[in-house]
Amino acid sequence: MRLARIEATRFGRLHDASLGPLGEGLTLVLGPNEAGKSSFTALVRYLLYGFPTEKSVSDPPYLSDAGTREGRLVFESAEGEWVIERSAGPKGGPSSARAVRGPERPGLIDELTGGVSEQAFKVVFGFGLAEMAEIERLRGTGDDIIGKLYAAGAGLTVSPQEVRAAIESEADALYRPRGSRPLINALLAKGRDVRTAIASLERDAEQLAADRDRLGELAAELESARVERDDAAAHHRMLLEEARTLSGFEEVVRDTEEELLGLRRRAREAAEVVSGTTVDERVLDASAEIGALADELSAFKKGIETARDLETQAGARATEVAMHLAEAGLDEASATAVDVTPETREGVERWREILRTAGQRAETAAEERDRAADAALVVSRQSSASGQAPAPRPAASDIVPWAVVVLAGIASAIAGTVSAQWVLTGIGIVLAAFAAAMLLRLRTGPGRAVPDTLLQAERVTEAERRAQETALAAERLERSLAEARREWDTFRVERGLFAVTDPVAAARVLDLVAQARRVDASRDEAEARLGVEERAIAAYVERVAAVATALGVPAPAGPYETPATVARLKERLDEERRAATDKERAIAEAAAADAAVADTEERRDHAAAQARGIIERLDVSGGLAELSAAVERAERRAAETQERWGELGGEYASLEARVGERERTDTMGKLRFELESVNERIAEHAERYAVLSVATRLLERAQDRYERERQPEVVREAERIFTTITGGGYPRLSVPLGSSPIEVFDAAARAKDTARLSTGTAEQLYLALRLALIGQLGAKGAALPVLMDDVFANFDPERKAGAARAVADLANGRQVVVFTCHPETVAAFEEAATEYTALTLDRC
Amino acid sequence: MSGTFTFVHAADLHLDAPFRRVDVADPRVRDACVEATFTAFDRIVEICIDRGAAFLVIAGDAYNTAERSFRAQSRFRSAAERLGEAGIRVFLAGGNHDPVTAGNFALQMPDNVHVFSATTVERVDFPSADDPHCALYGRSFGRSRETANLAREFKKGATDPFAIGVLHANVGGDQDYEPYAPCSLEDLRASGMDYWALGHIHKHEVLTSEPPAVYPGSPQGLDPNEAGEHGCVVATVGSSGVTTEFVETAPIAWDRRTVDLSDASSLDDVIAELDSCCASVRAAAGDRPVLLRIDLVGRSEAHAALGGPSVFDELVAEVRADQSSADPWVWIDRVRDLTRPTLDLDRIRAGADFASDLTRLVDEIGPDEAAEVLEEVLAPLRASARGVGLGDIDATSVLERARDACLDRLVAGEGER
Repeated sequence: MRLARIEATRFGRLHDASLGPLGEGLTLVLGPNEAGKSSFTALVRYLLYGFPTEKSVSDPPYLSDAGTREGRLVFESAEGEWVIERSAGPKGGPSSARAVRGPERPGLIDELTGGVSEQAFKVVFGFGLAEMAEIERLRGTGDDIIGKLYAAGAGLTVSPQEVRAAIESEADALYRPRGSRPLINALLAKGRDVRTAIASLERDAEQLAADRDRLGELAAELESARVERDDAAAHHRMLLEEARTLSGFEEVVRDTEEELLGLRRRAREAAEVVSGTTVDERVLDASAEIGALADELSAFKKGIETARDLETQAGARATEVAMHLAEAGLDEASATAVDVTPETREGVERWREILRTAGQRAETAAEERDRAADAALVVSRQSSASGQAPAPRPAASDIVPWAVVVLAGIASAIAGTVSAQWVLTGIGIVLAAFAAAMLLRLRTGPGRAVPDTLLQAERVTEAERRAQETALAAERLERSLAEARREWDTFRVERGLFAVTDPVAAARVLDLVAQARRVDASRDEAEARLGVEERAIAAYVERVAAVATALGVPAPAGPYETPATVARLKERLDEERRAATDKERAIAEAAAADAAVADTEERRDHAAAQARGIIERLDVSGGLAELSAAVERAERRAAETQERWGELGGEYASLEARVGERERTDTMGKLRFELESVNERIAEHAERYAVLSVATRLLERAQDRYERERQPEVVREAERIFTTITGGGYPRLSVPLGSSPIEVFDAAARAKDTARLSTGTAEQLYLALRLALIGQLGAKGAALPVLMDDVFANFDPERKAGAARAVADLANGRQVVVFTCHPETVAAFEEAATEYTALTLDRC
Repeated sequence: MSGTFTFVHAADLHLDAPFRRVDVADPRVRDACVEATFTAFDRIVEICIDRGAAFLVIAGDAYNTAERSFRAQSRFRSAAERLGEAGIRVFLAGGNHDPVTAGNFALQMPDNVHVFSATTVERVDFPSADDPHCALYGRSFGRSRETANLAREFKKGATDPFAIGVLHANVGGDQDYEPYAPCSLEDLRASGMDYWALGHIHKHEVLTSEPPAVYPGSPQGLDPNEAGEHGCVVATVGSSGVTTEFVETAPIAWDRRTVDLSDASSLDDVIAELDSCCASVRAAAGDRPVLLRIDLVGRSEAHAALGGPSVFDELVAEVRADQSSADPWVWIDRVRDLTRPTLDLDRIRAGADFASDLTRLVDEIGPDEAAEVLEEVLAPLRASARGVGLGDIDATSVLERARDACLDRLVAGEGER
């Protein structure tokens, strides 16, 4: 494939300009200045690699009048024809590769430029006179063309110089002797910072140690101050206590002196009381008897009253006995004969029942007889037709008993009323009423009827028989009653009931006699008790009289005066006792006062001695006043030492807190740990730095050896070309890697670096290097044309011919376009090349 | 000897000591590490109480510095008070990190704490001289660099029922530790002690069973080289002698693993291998968090991918973040990429190009020259570091890894990245 045509649509001075057809080998383009030779050379590069920005300073902008830039390259081969088009724009401008003929090759640009950077193209493929020296200027940079020569010649895909640069770059990123950004440099700086911080902390630690020492000193001072404070306080307390004690003792002395005056006065007064007090010892000796009499006085008074009562009671009983006997109708003698035993009472009751029953029977029989007599009379009267017989009159024997009963009842009622025995009165009234009724009946009894004749006779007979029978019965019962009464009388008399015939009255008499006897017995008892009381009274009165007489107190005239005498005796006793007590108290008072005087004197002497002891011990002859002044001084001293101790304590606490805070922190530990980390990272990176640095040394040594022992083929080719160009003037080249100067050796083996070469010779050297390099590229950039823009201007004719031969040789295997405005240059190429294409350009 | 009793033997608490050679950025992990020595001591206290110990013996280096930080003292005092409340006494000997000198105790310790003399072997009857169950002989360091053979000053009394020697010492000249109070097993045996409560060596070790001479080790590993079990020893003294039991106390475990990436062909494979490694570590540590170091080894297709300037760091950061956020956490302290490219070095070595020259050049560099080159390249860094340790860098390994870094880029085209 070859570049067939270069077309400038708009590019600098060129406007729809075209250069071509270009030959496969050498093409000579002759044009005057300003014909666009340099523009076409640059246009090729821009169309392949992109237009530079307008701000680029390394390349002219080649702006068209319209301010745009665009063009195209036409490539041809046996397979077809392709056009690469590009217009200026961002990132080099949009480009395209299209087939005019043959298959599409969208990656044509990359195929063409593969392995050749834009800078390499500019320096090696499309260069003008201005770029000739670039090949040396770019040594040691990323576009080191000579380094690439080495890589190519050393069988490597990369230049050892590039490798070395890369490794050095890595090493520099780790460490440089100067600078702060490399990693190790930064770590060293950080380590210094950490050490500075540690040193600061260590200085702080020194300060801390000093503070510790100061803390220890303060502790000692504090302890000393504490002791001093305690001593001062203790001294103050001691003096204060001593002052208080001394004051107390002196006060005791004063108080005891005053107290002694009073005590002595008391003693005198007590003695006077003792001497002025007399006591009747007889009274005190009789105090027991007087006390007893006084104690018994109440009983004595009661005894008098009791005797008086008993006497009255006995009199009342005698009256009552008399009343009972009077009621019973007995005198004392008759009453004495009455048997009032229970048997008598039962007998009386039995006889009363017997008599009553017998009386009733007799009365009933009498009534029966009377009725029968009445009936017989009636019947008799009836039988006599009208001869009525009058009713018999009551007999006197029937009336008398009832009259006696009436009298007895009346008597009983009267006796009961007199004696206030209302039961007896009641019984008497009832008995009298009943008997009166019976008498009335006996006087007013009814008459009987007379029976009819026959019947009346029978009836009369019968009535008479009946009357007889009832009369007999009544007579018999009357006899029985009389017999019973006789027996009752016998019984009654035998038991002293002489005048009492009626059993009821007898029973009443028995009761009265019994009552009289009980009352009489009570009277006897009262009289007996009266006797006892009277004897006790007499004895008491006698005792009182005896004591009173002994003590000169008038004796009592009788029992009733005795209490007054006893009271007088008691009063006397109390008086004597008070006198005795007063005297004893006065004696005791006098003794106590004497003892108190002695005790107080002792206390006074003791206090005085103690006070003297304190004064002597404390050497305060001025006494309490001087001691008080000493106390005030001690108090001030104690306050001062307390204040000093407080200040030291505050300082100690503050310092201790600061020291503790600093010592407890783990900042130092963390810093040391961080320093270890930094150092470890330095060590780690140092090893990597060592590897990289040694690697650069190895590369350096290897290059040196290689340069010495294995000159790269490309350099040898450049050497050959340069020798050809210079006509053997410089048979050897030295092209070291890196930035060391290129040297040429003349026929005498004298070395010259490019700075010492003429401009033309140097340009010849650079051309030789380019030609050798391009010759060694092989497949790299095989289809790229080599564009030389009047680079032979400074060559003399001889060397220009040599250069033309070298270029013609290159054109044998690669497309070469030589732009020139010098016809002689064209001539030289026409001389050197067997085949070429000639083109001309007109001035734009 | 009258009766059976139990005591707990600990040493090298190094209270408030920072972990060494560890890179932790996570505050949670950092705080746990800063607190770890205290946590381990708290566990010892719990063991004393739970086991009904009669006393606790600490054979030196309870503190990390001679100054005894206030924080360490404060925490120690709190623990001692807790033991005192349980009726447990504490017998403390000073070691090289906490020699007993005047004035280095700022805080007054409770009455149940006894600090052995730094001038002579001190004898204490326990529980009392009237009815001793045992006699404790102890000697503190009076200076950090104690080079005298202190063990020879110990001698069991004729009437001692049971004698315990408490000493911070390097028995047998362990090269990994400072040779302080050096002595031999024969010195220990000659003393007649029935039990030697030793300190100084941070790894649990029973030097001899006749009599028991025991290093309990440190209760908490303090740097990556102190992986493994850390704790204290519970000793029970009975009529048949003394039996010992090691009890773990470290709240944080250290672990170091090698991960072979020979089968890894991508960064995803590498992450999977790291996750698998962390899972294994977590399982081995039980419920404890772990500080982990990993070396990636093997000829791996992933080697080139890891060689980028930021890929490896970002990958490790991602795995570290995942693992440290779990509970219990695994903090990946450091991952070293020791993988090799899959290049055939022999073939490259046999060639005639630049890579071959470089490979042979490395072959020609011996260890001394490698060390010289290493020091040469590190000289500016060392100057900048001003005394900051750069770690133990193996020159030969660096040389090989440098060669691999070059070949990776030269042969595999990585230089263009």
